Amino acid sequence: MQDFEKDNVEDLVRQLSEEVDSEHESSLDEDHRKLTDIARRLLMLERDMTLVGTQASQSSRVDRLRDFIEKEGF
Amino acid sequence: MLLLSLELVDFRSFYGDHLLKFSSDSDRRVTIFYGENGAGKTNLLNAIHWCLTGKFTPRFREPGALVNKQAVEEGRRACSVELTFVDDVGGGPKEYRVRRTGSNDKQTSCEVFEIENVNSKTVPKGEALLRRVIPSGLVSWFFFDAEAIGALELSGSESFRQDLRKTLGFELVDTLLDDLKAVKAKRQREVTASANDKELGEIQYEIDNLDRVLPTHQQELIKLNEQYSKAKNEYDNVRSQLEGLPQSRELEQQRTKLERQISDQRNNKRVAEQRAAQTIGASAPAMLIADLTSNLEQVLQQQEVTGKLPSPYSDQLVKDILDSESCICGRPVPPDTEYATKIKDLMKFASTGELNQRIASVRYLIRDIERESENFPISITKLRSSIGEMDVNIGRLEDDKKSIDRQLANIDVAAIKALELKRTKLEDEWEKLNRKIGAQEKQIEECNRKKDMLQQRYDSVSKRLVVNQRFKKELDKTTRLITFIEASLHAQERQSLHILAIELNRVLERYLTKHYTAKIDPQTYAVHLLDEQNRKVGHSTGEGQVLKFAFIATIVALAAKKTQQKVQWLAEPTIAPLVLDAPFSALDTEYQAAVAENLALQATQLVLMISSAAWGQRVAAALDSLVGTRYLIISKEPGPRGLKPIKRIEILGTEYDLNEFDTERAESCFVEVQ
Repeated sequence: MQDFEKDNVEDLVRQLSEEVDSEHESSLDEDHRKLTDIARRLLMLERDMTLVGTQASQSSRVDRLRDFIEKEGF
Repeated sequence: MLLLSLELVDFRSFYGDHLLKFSSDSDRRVTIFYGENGAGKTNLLNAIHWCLTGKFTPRFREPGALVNKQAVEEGRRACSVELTFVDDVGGGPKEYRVRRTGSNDKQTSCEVFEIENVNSKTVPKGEALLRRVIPSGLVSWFFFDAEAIGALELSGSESFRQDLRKTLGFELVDTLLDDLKAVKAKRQREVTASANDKELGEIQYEIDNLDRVLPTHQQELIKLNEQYSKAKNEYDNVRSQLEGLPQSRELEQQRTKLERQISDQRNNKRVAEQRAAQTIGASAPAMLIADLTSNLEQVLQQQEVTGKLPSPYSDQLVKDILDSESCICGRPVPPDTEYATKIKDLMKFASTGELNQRIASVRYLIRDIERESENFPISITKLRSSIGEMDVNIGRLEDDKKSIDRQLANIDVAAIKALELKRTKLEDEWEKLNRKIGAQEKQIEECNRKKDMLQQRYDSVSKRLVVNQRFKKELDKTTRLITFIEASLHAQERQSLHILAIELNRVLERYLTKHYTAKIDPQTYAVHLLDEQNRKVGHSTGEGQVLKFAFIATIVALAAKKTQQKVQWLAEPTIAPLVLDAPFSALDTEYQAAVAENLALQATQLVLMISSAAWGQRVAAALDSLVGTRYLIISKEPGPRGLKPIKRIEILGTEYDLNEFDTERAESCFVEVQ
């Protein structure tokens, strides 16, 4: 019973948190949203490039980041 | 990362082969190893630490003697530690096994295997995988030698700040920012080449030179910081040895206390000096213009009296006279008469509400300036006198410390003399390194300052030149991204610190009997414990120790994002077990159970090495329902027992012996408690 209540509360907290996030995102202006999206994808690219086993040298990371930014229009 | 098992072969006090299982069930996430002093709890912590990092905890003694002595006598030259764990480094959870072997002549090797359906394949660059699973900056938090908790500094040094930033998961975004700055530099060089301008080319040349020099300085600083922490660890080690000897214990404790008082006084002095600088900064303009403002006040007064500045009558009064066609003296003022025109002319000099308001604002401003300039001498004198008092206190405390240094040096025990000599030498070394670090930091600061100035010149020169617009646009895009990410990072750092402070205070509120609060300085990351009157409480007090344990647990939970829902896209989570050697013994009894419970609740998996002295009824009650696996570490001695005591521990109502005599060899063994 306690576990059930705990799960319910956690679900509720998660839902609220998602709601707050989506409200926050919708309140951002277009420019900010675009920059957030690009920055997030850049970070993922950086993570992939520094991932174990696939670690790229700094010069190749820099080239790939440069190409990525060039393709993005903002 | 979730630990599954550990296999030790001839490692330190553990003779032969020992296979241990960790509890990885989320409801029963605690594994406990019970052992007395000297049984091998620190060896066990270091086995895990060494296996994952190739290094030992700072207090680990004789790291050159890794192989069990008996095993060496039997001709074996190597020991090994094998750790199996589950982790998700991308692509779903996988099982890994790390095997590290070593010998007494410091020959070590490390292999990492990925296990799939009982088959295992070697992971290339295995050490890199381990660094990914548990970043080096986090190791000291997750594998914590709690006996050294007293030495844990929450005072906000640069290395502490960096460690904490790594813990909060900002390492990846730091790398991204470095790479983006390299992209920007490349783009800027393209723009420079396209401009074909001598002045711009020269500025670019100087910027490039600084870009070449800066990494060398930064590398040197990292090297110096490493040397510094090594020297500091050695120094702390010597100090703890001095505290361990009965003849020097009391004096050593007094010296530690004095050093803390000196450090507190110095911190307070720094704060007072900053406040004095702020006061001078804030009052300087007021002091400078105080004379001018008193003249201004006089001018205002004069003009008011002579009627040049309107004030004796208002526009409303003139209007009322004209409307009522009657003067205030009772004389009639018929419209369109000469007298009415005269009265109308007064409007030119009558004050308006708006004008009066503006004059009143100027007056208030003048009063503020005068008040500020009057208050300044009082507040600055107070601050100066308190700084003076602090200087006297520091001098007195330093004299007391010198006297204790002399008393310790005069103790006629060879071991103490040798330790004191070593301590003095290490202290010198440590101070020299400190100075070198300061000089190196200054050089880096100077380079950055020069670079900023050059960049400003570059921007202003490039504005009036014709440059390739495509390159210019790409440069601007990269600059915008850097600015945006830096701003987001800054905001998220602040948010993380805020959450950290909330979590810490939640723990303190729940467990401390006193109404103390924790505060984190956003600049230095220093953690302060404050009493009800907002006064700082020393970290060496019982409550200060609770703060340190609460801090470790909160860090671990935060690193795993368990409390970090609102710190989002920049932070990378690190989920790892919390492994603590001999916790609670440093704590007041009243806090032991609360701290134990908090550690278990905050960590994803908790491994404790604990002595019978720290395993009280209250700690047992707090942890029993969360423990999945328990082992006894039995100390075995080959000689007869004689008058030596048998150490016992009670677990779930049953008593167990923790040491044995008349055994085949001196060793430590594990027995699982069923």
